[in-house]
Amino acid sequence: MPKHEAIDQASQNDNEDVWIQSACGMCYNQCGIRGHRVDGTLIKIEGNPDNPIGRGRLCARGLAGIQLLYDPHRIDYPLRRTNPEKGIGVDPKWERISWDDALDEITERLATIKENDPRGLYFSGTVICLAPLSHALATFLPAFGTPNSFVSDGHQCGNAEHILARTLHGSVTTNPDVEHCDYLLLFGCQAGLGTYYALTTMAQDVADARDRGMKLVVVDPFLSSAAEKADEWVPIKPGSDGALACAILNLLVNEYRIFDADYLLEHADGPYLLTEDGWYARDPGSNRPLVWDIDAGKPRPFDDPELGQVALEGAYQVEGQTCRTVFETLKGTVAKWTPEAASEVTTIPPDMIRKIARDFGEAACIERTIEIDGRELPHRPAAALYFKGAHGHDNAWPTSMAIELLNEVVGASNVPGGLLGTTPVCDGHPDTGFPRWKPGANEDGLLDAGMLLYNDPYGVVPGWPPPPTDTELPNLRDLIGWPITTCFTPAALTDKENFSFDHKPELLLNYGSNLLMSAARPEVTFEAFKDTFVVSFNLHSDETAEALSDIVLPDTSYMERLDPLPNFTRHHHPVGLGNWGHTIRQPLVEPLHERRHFTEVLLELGQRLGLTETMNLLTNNLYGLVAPHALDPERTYSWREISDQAYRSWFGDEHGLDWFETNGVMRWPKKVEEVFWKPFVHARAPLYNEWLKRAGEQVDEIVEKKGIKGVDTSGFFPLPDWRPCRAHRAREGYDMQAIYYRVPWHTFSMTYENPWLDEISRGEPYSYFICINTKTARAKNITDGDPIEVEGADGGTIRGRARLTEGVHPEVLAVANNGGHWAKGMPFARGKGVFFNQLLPMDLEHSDLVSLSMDCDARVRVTRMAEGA
Amino acid sequence: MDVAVKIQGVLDRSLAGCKNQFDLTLPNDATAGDLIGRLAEQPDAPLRDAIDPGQTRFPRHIRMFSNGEMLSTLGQPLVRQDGLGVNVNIVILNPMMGG
Repeated sequence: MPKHEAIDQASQNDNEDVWIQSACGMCYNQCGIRGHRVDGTLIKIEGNPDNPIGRGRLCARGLAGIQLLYDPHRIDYPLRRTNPEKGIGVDPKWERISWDDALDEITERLATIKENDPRGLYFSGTVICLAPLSHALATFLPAFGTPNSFVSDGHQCGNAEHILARTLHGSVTTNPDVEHCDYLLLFGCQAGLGTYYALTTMAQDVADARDRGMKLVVVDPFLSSAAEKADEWVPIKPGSDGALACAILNLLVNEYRIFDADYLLEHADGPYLLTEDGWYARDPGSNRPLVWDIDAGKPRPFDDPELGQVALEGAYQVEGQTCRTVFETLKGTVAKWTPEAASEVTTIPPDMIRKIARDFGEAACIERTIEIDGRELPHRPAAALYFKGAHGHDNAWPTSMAIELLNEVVGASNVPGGLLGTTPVCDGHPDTGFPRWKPGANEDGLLDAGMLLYNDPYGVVPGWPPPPTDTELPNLRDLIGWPITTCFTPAALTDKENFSFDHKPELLLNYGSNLLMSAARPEVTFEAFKDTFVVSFNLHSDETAEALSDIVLPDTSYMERLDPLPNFTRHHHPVGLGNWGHTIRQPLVEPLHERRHFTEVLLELGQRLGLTETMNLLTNNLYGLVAPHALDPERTYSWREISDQAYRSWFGDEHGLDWFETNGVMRWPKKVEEVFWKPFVHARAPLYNEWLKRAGEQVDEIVEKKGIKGVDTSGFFPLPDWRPCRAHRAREGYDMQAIYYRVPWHTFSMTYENPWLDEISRGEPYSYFICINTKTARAKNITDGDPIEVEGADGGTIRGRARLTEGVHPEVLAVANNGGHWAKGMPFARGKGVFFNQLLPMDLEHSDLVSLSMDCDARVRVTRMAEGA
Repeated sequence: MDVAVKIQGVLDRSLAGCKNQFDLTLPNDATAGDLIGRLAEQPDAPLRDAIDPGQTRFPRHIRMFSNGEMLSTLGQPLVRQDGLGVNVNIVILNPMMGG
């Protein structure tokens, strides 16, 4: 059906003029929106002032979403590939098929796979659509019996940051409490200024904080959206943020002696004693970690009720060994990172490093308190935050640790003014007590976050991290099971030297991800799945669909589907005081053409394959559904019915789906002890990652037994340190580092097809170019607008036009993320921007093996090309 | 009481060909932990982990449902109030969503 006829049919509702509350889906932040529909046509999207997520504001992407709904290049019908040849840039020669034909074939293949070996089903998904993704991961895939899933944009995700958000903050991620903060130090991050979690809410809060006088310092190789608004922009060589953070730590704990001793003694493992070989010294009877009782002159378990004054610093004799406290060991570990040493690798002048350390430490106001809602709380108005720019390297783990510990040593962790976990504590709606979650303490007294991606009405489920057991899974989840997202699967499947698996991908179900563009160098992903039957759920015929897919199914956009509780996982909520907000995503229009909701299709596939019983049980688990709203395993439910039960289970029978369709969002006030939970939950932050030391030994044992040479656990540091990532290391003939940066109006590769967002890019001087420092360019005889070629020391070449600017480090080239489309099915995006990821290898050597984070920058050289070359 | 057990999900391939359905008889006051213990005695049960002594919660990647209701601790009883037989589903999760 031609597009205009579909719209005309939808316009049969004469005299309709309605506003519908829903949730945006142009990124993973799920901001509240209202859609204005007139006579069946959506004419406007704006923010929803009643929704705490966004508070009525939207970014450019949210406002431009309407273009995605009526995009004439959307996939509207199931398609089958008729060209037997697969390849990057190959025309699939799509033919239109019916939904029945598509699902019949998919069902037949899946049934065979399930019968033979369910591990033959692989799944890749995008985090942009977190609710449907979670449903697939938590219900369909385990019901089917396959462990082989991965998040294709995982290497652009938090990786190391998520691990530490868990261990130190009880959450998936973090954001600063800018309402009470006076000094915000950002490393490779644009929180509230361009990108990152809860952006639209944070943008308002950061603006208010800046207006109040909060100082903003941004460490970044590129003059990003955050850096350009900062009081100070500190250019840094990519991948060296950890060295800077170690130097600041050294100055704080050793030279300036600015640290929160009370916090470290009571709320962290600062006083825990370490044996000479780096384990917690333990009481022989209880196995509890020991601390030094100064009054008694002997070691005692940390939770001994008769403890006297406990030592935070120093070394003590325990059972014939010299045991230092964790804090003393930290001081020793970072001591070598003088400002001069850090300056060597970062290129930041030593005096600037000293200034940052002094300013941060003094801003933290150790011992200050604040009264909020009648509660007296520690007030530490300094916070350090980081994200991809800092930890998107193969030294992600120690870098992330170093930056996190800046907050910990001054006690600015989960208290007013400091760095907050994204809603680690929820006591639930006042009427029902759901949803609820709260971290606890494990047997060592250390923070245990519980089940991060579920409603957790049953309390903390222990047993994290999962111990390494084997190497049977290409996503490495059985070997390195603690990162949340990883896209290592294509790398493992193609690394025949290190890995062999007794099963192969027979069918790849790809939900919404353009993995050829998102997951580093596309040839690796293509090689991994070129012989696999690929089914994609897509909005567009993108690069992955055209190169690999056998069947493409037309997905609904967020404006055409129902997702109950799209922000149910913790990290979509803004931090800080205010209201909780649980919302609805509901259709602003009925799905156009033959587009169908992925979750509904999964339910149908589940029924066809006899998985409904198990999927119902797991849906109960995913949403924490309790009687009388738990799904009966013997029944079949529609997606509307499931959504209704989820709402009723959480908020009571009077607040089912129909209530949410009318009212849009359930709000209730947050409590002080939910937001600033650290003083109220006695669980210590582990500065020392003893668990990782143990895991490293277990990994070593497994890989040695299997003869795997490429898994190197030397980076499994329990305390922060710094070593260069591959791109940071000098290579003869390659004198620069290339990085990608995020622009606030794009989400991965998806949004380049949007004409309104393209208009922003075309009007902005940098994002379709390769940015190079003016002085560097002149030395290389490159002028503004020249065509240039960037060649990677580890392979890959990209081309674009030079944009000269003072806003990039002299040794760095900067490219806006995920441009350079080539798919015929995305004609608006095609040829615009630069495809950076061609420079990025995907292998063990370029990965941080603690977090499975990849080195997202490259060691390169740049040359000017002749016009027309 | 009669307990019909179905084990589903991401099963341990090292026990390929193992059984995933069991019909057992247990005391009326049997708990989830008792059932796990009885299953662990079966030579061809596909459960990957034994429960450690003193452990009160399920391993992170295992969920047990008794007549559709999820059980959270090993000490929870299986029995229905009406004394009729119990259908137990044990689902082994996708390791990526195990927490």
